[in-house]
Amino acid sequence: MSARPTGWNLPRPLLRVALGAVFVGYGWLKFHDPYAYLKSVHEYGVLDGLKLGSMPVENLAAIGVPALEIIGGLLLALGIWRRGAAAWLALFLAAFTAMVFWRSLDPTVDPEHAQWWLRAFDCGCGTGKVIVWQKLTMNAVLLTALVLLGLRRDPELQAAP
Amino acid sequence: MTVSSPELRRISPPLALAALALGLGLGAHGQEPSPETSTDPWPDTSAEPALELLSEWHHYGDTTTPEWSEAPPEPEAGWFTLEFDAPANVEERALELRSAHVDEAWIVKLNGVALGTLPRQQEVRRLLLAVPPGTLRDGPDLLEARPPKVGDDITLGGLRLLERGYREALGVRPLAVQVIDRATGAGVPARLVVLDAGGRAALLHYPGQSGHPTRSGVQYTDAEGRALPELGAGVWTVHAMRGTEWSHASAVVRMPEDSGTAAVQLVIEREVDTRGWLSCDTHLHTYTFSGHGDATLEERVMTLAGEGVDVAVATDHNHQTDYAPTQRALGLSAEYLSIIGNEVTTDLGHFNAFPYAREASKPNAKLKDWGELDADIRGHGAQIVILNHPRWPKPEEGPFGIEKLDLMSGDFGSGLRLPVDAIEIFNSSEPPERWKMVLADWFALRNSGSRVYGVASSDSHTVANPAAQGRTYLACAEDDPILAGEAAIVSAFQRGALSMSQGLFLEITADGAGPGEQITARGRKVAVKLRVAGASWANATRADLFLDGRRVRSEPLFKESGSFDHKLEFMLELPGHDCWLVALAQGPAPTGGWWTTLQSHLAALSNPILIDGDGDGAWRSPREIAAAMIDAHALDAAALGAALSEHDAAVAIQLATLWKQRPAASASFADAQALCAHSGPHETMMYRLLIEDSDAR
Amino acid sequence: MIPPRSLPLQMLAVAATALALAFAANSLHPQGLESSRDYFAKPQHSFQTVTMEEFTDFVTYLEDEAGDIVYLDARRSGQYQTGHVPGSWNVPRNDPAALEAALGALQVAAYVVIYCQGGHCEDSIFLAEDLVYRHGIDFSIVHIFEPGWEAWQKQGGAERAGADR
Repeated sequence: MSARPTGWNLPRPLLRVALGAVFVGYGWLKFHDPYAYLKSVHEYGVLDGLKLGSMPVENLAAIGVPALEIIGGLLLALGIWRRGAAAWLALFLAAFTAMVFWRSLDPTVDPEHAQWWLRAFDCGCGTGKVIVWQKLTMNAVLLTALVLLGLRRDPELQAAP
Repeated sequence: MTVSSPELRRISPPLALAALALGLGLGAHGQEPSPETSTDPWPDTSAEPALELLSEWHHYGDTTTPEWSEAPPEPEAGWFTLEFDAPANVEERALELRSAHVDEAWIVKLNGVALGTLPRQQEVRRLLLAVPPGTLRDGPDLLEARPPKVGDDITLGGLRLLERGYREALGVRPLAVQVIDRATGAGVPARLVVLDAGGRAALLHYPGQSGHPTRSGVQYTDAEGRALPELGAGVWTVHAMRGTEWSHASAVVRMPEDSGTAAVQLVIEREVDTRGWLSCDTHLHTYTFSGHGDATLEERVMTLAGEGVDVAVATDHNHQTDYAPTQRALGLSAEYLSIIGNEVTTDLGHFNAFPYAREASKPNAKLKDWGELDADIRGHGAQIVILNHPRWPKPEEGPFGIEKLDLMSGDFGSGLRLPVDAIEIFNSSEPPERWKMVLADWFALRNSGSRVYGVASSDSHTVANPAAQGRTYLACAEDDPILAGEAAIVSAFQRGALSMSQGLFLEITADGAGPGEQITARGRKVAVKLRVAGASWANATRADLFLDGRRVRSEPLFKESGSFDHKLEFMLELPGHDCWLVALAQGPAPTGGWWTTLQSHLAALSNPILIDGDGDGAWRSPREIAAAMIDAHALDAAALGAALSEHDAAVAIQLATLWKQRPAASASFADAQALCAHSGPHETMMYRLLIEDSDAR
Repeated sequence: MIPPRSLPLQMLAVAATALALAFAANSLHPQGLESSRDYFAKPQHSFQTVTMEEFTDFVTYLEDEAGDIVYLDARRSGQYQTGHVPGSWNVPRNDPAALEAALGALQVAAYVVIYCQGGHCEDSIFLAEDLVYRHGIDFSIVHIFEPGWEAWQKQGGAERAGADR
C-alpha cells in the first residue's frame, strides 16, 4: 500500500468512470446531429478537400470521431484497453485544443472581443458556443486527467508483488 | 374605434408607433416638450396682446399617466372646463391653445358655440381657433373641451384669448383660384393642393365656411372651377389636377403681408384620349352614411366632379345612397353619372352591389352563406356584384385567405364557388403592392374556370384620399356618360369589357377584339394592338402580356416628356389551344407632395380577351381543357403526357390538380411516371407536382 | 478478454472497434451521413447568377423602380428579422404561405434575385426550382445571388431589420 500516492481521496477506477463519462457525453452530443458536426469540422478547414478513396476525410472524421469518443470513454470507464483508449482520446483532445487555439486567433470568429482568450464561438465540440479561455482550461484539465488516470501504467498493478 | 375601411386601418399602426415613440421620449427626457416644433404650421403669435387663460399644463381624462412629464399624472377632471371673464365681442377674436396625447376628436366650445376640434396628435400641437363675433358675452364665459367618448386622456395648456381677430392676427385672406380647361376656355372642376415653401400641406383657414371640401392642404373647386382657399401671408404653391386623364398645373403665389388679396388662374387640359371608354369608380363612401371617414355627402359629390370621373357608384356600408339630388343642388348633374349602390358589409366579405332603384330595400348583410347572400343582394335589384379587397385587412384574413384559395389549382379549400361578377384588384386605398397578390389570385381563379372579372376603385372615405384614383374603364360607344345611361354601364360590367386603371390608361385588342370578347384564332398567331397612355405627370416603364396568367411578352416603354400614348403591335404566338390574354402596364408614381396616394406605382390592367385557339368555336378554360384531356386518355397515361406536351403550363398545373383528385385506385404510380415522362416541356414540373409531392405526403 | 499489453496494439484494437461501430451506427442513424458525398461542394444549378457588383447596383439605384426587381430572402424567418435586403420578401424553405404572398409580385416582375445565407447555401436554389417548376415563373427572370447574405453584410450592403412586408 506504500505505492499508493497520497492525496487521492477517491479510488482511481471511480475517477476513470467519471472521466470516461465526460467523453461519452461529448461523443453523444456530436453523434446526435452528424450533419451539424460535419459542418463544424468543415469550418476548421484543416481537412477541406482531402479524400480517402472516394470518401471526403471530413466525412470520415464526422462519422468516426464521435464514435471514438463514445467507445473510448466506455473502454476507459470499464478499464478495457484502457491505455489504448486513453491514448486516442488524448491525441484527439490535443489536436482539437490546438485547433481551437489557432482559430481563436482569427478576429472574425468573434469581432466583439479584441483579446483572443475572451472570444466566444462554436468550436464544434458539441456544447455550442464556448469562451476560449474556459475551453482551453477545461481541455488542459481533461488532458492531464487522461495522462494521469489512463495513460500511466497503473501504480496499483506495478506495486503488486 | 371600430375600423372598417382599408385607409383607416392603414393609418392606425404608424400613429400607435408615434405614440409609443413619443411616450418613451418624454419619459426619458423628463422635461416639458418644446411647443415650438419645426412642424408647427401656425405663425408666431407670442407677441400678440392676449388674455392669459391657462398657462400651466393640465391633464384631463380618466387615467393616471405618470409618464407624461409636462402635466400632473392624475387627471383634474374628465374634461376641461374654465370660467373666465372677458367683454362681449362684436368683432372676431382668436383662441390659442396647446394640446398633446389627443386620440379622439375633442370638441372645443365657448359658451356653447363649437369653435373646432383638437388635433388628434400625440405630439404637442399649437392650435388657433376663430372666435366668431358675439360668442363672448358680458358676465362669466364658459370654455370647454370634451371628448366624444370616455377613455381618452390629454394634456392642455397655453390657453390665450388674443385681442385681435383670427383673420387679422394670422394675416389670413382668401386666394381666388380659377381652374380653366384649355380646350374650352371655361372653368372646370378640379382638385387643388396647396403646399408651403417646404413642400408641406398648407393650413387652409376657415375650412368649414368655404363651401368647398377643404382639408389640410386640399380644396376642391365648385362646378365652375372656382375655389377660395384662405391662406396666411407667405409663399405658397398651388397645384390643380383633375384625375387620370388631365394634366397638372401649378403656380407659386405670394400672399402679401398687408391685407391685399391675390388671385391665380390655372390652366389644365385633357391629355389622355379615352374615346370609346368611360371611367368608373365602383367604391365610394361618405361620412354621412358610412359613419366613418370624413367626406360628407356634399363633399363627396364635389370631389367626384374634381376628379373628372364619368361614372360614380355610391357604395356606403349597408346603405343605398343617391348622389343625384345633391348633384342637382350643386349644379354637377352633367359632370358624371351617379349610380345607387351598396357596399354590403358582411362577415363573409364586403360586396359592392349596383344598380339599386331609389326605393329599393336593403339586402340582408347578416347572411352567412355565399349563395344565399349573393341571391339576396341580386334579389333587391342589383345586377352587378363585386367582391371587394379579397385580401384585406391581411392576406390571410381577407375572404380569399379565410376560404383558403389555393394559388396552384384556383380552387377554394372551403369548397366555395365564387358567385360574384368581379373582384377588386386595384383598390387605391389598400397597401402598396397588395394588388399583386390579388392578381395572383385572379390568375389562379381564371385558370380554374372561374369567369370572374377584375375591377379598380378608390374606396375613398375622405376628402384628402382622392376618389377615383383607382378607376375602371368600361367600353362604351357613347362618350357622354349621361347619354350612355345606367344600362350601358351595367352591360359593360356584365360582358367584362373593362380595363383597370391606377393612373395609367391601357387598351388592348387581339384580332380586333377587346376585353370580354372572344375571337377564333386563324393559325397559331394573333395580332395584338396595345395602347398605354398617360398624362404628362405620369409615366409607364413597362408593358407585359400574359397568356393563361403567364407572361409571354415584356416590353420596356420610354417617354420623352409631357403626356404619352404608346402604341405597340405584336404578332403573338399562341399555344395552339384555347387561352386568355391580358395586358399590364406599370410605371413609377409621380413624386412631389401634390400627388396624394397610398400606392408606390402607377398601373393599368386589362380584362381577359378569350382566344379560341383550336378553332372549334367554343372557348374552354385551362381547367376544362385538362378535364377533357383526362377523359380522352383515361386509360393511357403516356398518351395523356404526350397530349399535355402540346399545352401550356397553366393546363399542365390544372391537369396535375385533376390527376391528384382521381380516386387512388385508378391512378398507379407507374401511370404517374409515364405521364411525367411523356409530358415534354412539363416533365420537370409534372414530376414535382405528381411524384415528389405525393412522396412528401 | 485478454488485453494486449503494448500500447500500439491497444490503440489499433480501440480504433478498429470504434470505426466498425461508427459506420454501423451511422448507417442506422436517421440523419446519418452519406459517406462519399461531398457536402461542401459548390451546389450545381442552371439558373442565372448576379455578381456582387450587379447586386449592389440593383439595390443602390433601382430601389424605386416600378416593382421591376423582386428580392427573395430564402433564409429562416429569424435570420430575416435580424437583417435583410430592404424590400425583400422572406420565403423560407417549406413555407408555401410565404411563397404565395410573393407570387403576384413574382408574376409581374422583370427580374427576380434570390439569396440565402451564403457559403454554398442551397435554399436559394431550392426556392428558384420551386418558382420555375412548381409555379411556372419564367426561368429567364430568375437569378441567384450566390455570395449571399454573409458576403453582402461583410461589404456593408444596405440592410433593414424586422418585418418588411
